[in-house]
Amino acid sequence: MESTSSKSYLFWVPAIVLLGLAFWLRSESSQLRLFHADEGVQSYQAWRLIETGEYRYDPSEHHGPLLYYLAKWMSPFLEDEAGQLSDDGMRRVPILFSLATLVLGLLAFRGEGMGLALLWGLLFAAAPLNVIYGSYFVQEALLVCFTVVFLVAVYRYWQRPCWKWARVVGFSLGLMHVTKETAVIHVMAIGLACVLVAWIRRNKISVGPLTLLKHASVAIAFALLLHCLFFSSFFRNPQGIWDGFATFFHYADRSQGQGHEKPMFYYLSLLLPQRLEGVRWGELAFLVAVLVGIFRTFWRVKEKGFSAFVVLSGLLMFLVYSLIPYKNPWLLLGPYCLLCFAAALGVVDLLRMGITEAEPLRRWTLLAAGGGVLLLVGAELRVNVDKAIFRYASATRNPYLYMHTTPRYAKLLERLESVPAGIDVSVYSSDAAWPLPWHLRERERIGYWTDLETFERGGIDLIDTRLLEGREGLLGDGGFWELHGLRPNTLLALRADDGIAAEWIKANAKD
Amino acid sequence: MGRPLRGRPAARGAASPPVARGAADPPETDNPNYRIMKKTLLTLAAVSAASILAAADKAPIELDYPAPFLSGTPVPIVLPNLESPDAPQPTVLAPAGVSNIAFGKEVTSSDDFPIIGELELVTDGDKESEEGYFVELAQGPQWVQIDLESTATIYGLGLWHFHTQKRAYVDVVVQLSDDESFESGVTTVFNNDHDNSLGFGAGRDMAYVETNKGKLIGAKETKARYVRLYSDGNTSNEMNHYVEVEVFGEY
Repeated sequence: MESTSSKSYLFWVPAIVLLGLAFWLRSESSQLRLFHADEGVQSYQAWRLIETGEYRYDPSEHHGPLLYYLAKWMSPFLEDEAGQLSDDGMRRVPILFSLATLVLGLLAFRGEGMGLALLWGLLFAAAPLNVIYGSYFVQEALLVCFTVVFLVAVYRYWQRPCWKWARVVGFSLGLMHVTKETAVIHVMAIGLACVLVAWIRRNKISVGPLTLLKHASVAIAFALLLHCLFFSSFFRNPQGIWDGFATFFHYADRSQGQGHEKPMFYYLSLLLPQRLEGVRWGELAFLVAVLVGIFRTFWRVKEKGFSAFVVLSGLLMFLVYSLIPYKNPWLLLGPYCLLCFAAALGVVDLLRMGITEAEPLRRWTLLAAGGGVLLLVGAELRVNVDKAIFRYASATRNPYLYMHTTPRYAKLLERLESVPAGIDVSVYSSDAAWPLPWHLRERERIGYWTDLETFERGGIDLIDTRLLEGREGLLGDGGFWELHGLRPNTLLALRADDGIAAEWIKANAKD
Repeated sequence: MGRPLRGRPAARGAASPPVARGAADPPETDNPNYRIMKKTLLTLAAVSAASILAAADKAPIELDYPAPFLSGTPVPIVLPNLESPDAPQPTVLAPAGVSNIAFGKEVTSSDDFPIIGELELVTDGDKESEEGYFVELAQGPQWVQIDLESTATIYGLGLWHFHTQKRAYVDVVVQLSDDESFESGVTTVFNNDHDNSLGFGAGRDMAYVETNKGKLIGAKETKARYVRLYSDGNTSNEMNHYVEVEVFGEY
């Protein structure tokens, strides 16, 4: 790795600004974006753990336990002024880990050059995918954070094998594993990248097989310890220890799609120029910078081992995720974080080549190319931030979102929250209309049914319109009912007793 | 999942005493009706007392409602061509030969600068919902207004907001008037603003899901020069869209 500049303030001042920018964007994004169904499910489980202390790992669904325990340990910091867990509060957990990833990345990549580290920091801080899923109450932000630690630890161990880095490798591996099952993809990609870079550079590890085995044993012991602690709910559920391994069989089956199967180039298509409902999207300049970065990395693989390792890890992750039929945008977060490094490297290397070039024409061509790509990446980033994070924060036309809760859901919540506690609320939906159960978790008189077989009109009835097809007569003789969007192509019919409806109409009149 | 019985059993109060029929009662010793009535009253009193005593041990039934199950990521529902459901369009009568008199007419709006598209798209005759065929107005309550250029007898309107996604538009109100500013002589021919958000009064028309077949609205042969259509976002987002509006009438 290159030596860092002695003028450390030139690095740390912009780094702190980037940290502030990342925090602001994630906080704003969190305020503007409604809770996704998955966030609702995850929050509900965390809430149950906080309220009752009960948690049992489910090997077939909902990923690892770490997110719930972190939410429990951080719960005093997640509550609003009324002492209640809130959407914004829950999102503080992933935001914290997303910011930690930024700090770790800046520290780790600084050795490759201050400009490169800061440009990566800018892309990580502001790129819509990083911002949106860096403030999503799902496991991805945590997984990416531990992946960066693991990646750096593996390389450092390879460079200088010792107990310290072996322990960090094991600890980060364990954290990845108890966060999400897909950690295995990250571990495989990073492991393969390490072997390939070592083979290309003809590097050999500087310890013997016995020492390597001892270090590996310690690393695995750390990972196993975390596995046993978390999957067994701290030994309250010993079955969880086995379930933590059995889950891979379930997820191997799930990886085939289960309704989420997409074509191989789905992730690439998210970044390519496109129009959705009249709005232009795309990260073409970013992709050009990535391509330049990949080319330059392998052009200089002999002298830039760490860069090659990071870029190759990102590429392999991207490839594996693309090959797996099951796809959604937040799975791209891990590879995207490393591809940001490739993009930063591409831009910085063009500029660096221009600066060091003696021949004037080549010098200015390289500087113009580097400056041009930098300007385009910056402009593209600015436009995408405005659209994806602010203007279309919860819109179905936002390509970074997936089956996201529609903005009209806020109106539905407003309606339901105004209903007196004693009124029965019945929800009829094949998938429980998440995130509704999370938002209505404190209501006592609320029930969820998956079909309309036993439907009876109650105080408030919420019915997924898919269940109503051919049975519209159930809504009865007019009265108050209205449609609310839940997700793309999913509508809920809200039926209310006349007395409740009258209150809503009165409230509108006051407004 | 079965559904528990909703509601509570009707409260059993004491039986009402029967109303005595007939004239004044004869002396009780020699009136057989009196003895029968006495027996009946005693029996009813005993039953009532038993009912009251039994009711004292009862409490309202409290139902256990089923909790939500923890589902996975919602699976996308792809509806590339949203077809109309079986619900038939209303019958709107008009003389033979009545045509769309809104075609090519000037359109104005509460949003002078549409986010996407042009206001001309509302009356251009294209009813596709893809790129380039719809106009998008800002969020919140917005209207578009068609100037028919002179007063016409209007029999009905066809309305297409957007139909490549399953969505319903909120607070749809359609008004006709000869007054360009809609301050007088306004006839409302459709209103599903059932909670009176827009302030035109609570509408009685039903909310509906947009389809390729649009919405046919009867206009009751109203005479008007201007047609104004309101909406306040939709179930997918806060924006307002129009693919096409047709006005069937004659001058």
